[in-house]
Amino acid sequence: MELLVHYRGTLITAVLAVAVGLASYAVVSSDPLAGHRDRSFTMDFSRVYDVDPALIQYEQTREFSVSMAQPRGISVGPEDQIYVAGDQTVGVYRPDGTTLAMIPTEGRPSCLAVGNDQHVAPGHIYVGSGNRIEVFDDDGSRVATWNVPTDDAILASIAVADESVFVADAGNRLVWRFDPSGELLGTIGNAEAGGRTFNVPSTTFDIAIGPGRQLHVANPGALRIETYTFDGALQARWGNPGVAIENFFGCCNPSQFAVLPEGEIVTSEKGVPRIKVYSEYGEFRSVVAGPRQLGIAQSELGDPRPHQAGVVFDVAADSQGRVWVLDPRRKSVRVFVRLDEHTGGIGFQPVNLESTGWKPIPLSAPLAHASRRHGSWEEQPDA
Amino acid sequence: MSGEQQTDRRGFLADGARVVGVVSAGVLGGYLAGQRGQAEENRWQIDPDKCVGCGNCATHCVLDESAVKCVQCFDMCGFCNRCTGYYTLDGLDSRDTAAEDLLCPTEAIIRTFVEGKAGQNFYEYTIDTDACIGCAMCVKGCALMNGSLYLQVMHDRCVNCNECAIAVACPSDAFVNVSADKPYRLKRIALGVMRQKAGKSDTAAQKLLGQVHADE
Repeated sequence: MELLVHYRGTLITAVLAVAVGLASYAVVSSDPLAGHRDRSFTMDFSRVYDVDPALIQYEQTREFSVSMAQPRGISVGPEDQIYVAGDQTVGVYRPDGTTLAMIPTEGRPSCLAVGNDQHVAPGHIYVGSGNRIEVFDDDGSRVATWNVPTDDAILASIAVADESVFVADAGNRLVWRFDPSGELLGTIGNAEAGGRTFNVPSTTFDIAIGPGRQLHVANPGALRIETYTFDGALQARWGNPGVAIENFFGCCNPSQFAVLPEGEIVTSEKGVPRIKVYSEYGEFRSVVAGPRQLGIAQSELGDPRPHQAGVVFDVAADSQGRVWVLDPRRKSVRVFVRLDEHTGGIGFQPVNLESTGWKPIPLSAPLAHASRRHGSWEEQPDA
Repeated sequence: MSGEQQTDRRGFLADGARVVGVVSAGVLGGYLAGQRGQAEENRWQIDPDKCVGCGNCATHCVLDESAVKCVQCFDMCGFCNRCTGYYTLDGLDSRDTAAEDLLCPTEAIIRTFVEGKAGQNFYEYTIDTDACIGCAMCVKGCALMNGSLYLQVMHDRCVNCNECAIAVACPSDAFVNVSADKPYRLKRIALGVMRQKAGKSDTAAQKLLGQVHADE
């Protein structure tokens, strides 16, 4: 006891020294940021990567290679033949993937369309490259070549109706209308001509013909699809921006779309690649394929390298309602068929639109708003 | 006597001419060698077409504040209202400018209203380089759309280490040596756009092409 009293000061110093040492060790060895380090500069895409399986109503049934280094566009022609443009060629394939022809082109195609049975020249192939349209007949012989009347055109899409050929020009943010011989009939969205300006932030600017003799135009910067008469009068518009599956993601989507036989619209988005089906009036129906089904790893989302970030899946639809997807990474065509038709399985399950926040856009109010802000609308006849 | 003097003068002049020739050749050779040496002086730079936006640039630079900063290629930007490089996924929906809805951890992206057209609002996105830490969050977000934001080593800050610590840590070999007189790079797609513009007598594009490393 006397010893304790005698060495009390020394003992207290020793205890304090040990305590300080332990505390120092604890501070040095601990890493309060350890849990955050791996996540510091990462983005969590799981919310957009995973798609509710119940919404996926399509299944891939076939895939065939297109033997092109850079396939750019896909279209379906008479007898459901598949046409793919890329490199300096147009490949023609049977639905089973058998190659029928490889048609050389002068330019490097960026888009194409094929006249269907309603077109004055069924089977004629219209190929866009640079500021030029190359026309081939149904056996691949060159028929004509005509130029879009501007140098700074970026031809993004072609749609062929009965007696009209529409060409979407992302460079000038408008749609050209030609007759099948190449005579310019007019434009839609031409700001200089008093029309409305499409918001086209990138080079994707798709168009397609609806079954009711309408022209559907993607307005990608506005994240919606608009429907016009062939004369350029707006009939309808739909589409909501948002991350949720029923909306259009990012700042410029849908990047591609196609029209199914009954008028439903298949959309393809870039950034977070996902292919979906909407009614003609914009009601979300189902998912054809999400990023996972398209072969995109979650870690690839947001990868800035061009071969990852620049991926755009073009889509086309045939007379049987099959969805044809051009995969630029696998350089292949992938065929998606509705599950109920393919398997006789689960059938279409209507989505509870209210639960997703979806509300059809009333036409009257937005159009009136548009006409007030943009005088050009008032000059166009109401649909 | 005078003959010897004439011979000496001639010899003197000949020797002098030889010396001057040798000295001139030496000077010229030295000058050319020096010029060549200058032309081969290199700087570290990021090839934006190889960058994966891993975030190492923010944490591996030997400087307290990384010399790597984000840059904006306005010719590729869509000036979008809903910018995926500016907003988080939640922010895209809310378009709230609260810090938790912005992608940049240091709020280094400045959003400025440009104009309203066709019912759409357009915004310009510029980088506050003093605030930017080179983390590449915006680069990954922007890659979801046009990919106009990318990283570059800023040579008013870089100390040009012999062995760049970020280059060692770079997972995609995106760091390259480029000539010191043109130490910046454009994305390949932007290079194409600039060449098109330069071909149409766009002086800004011509000037930019004169400043960037343009090997493909």
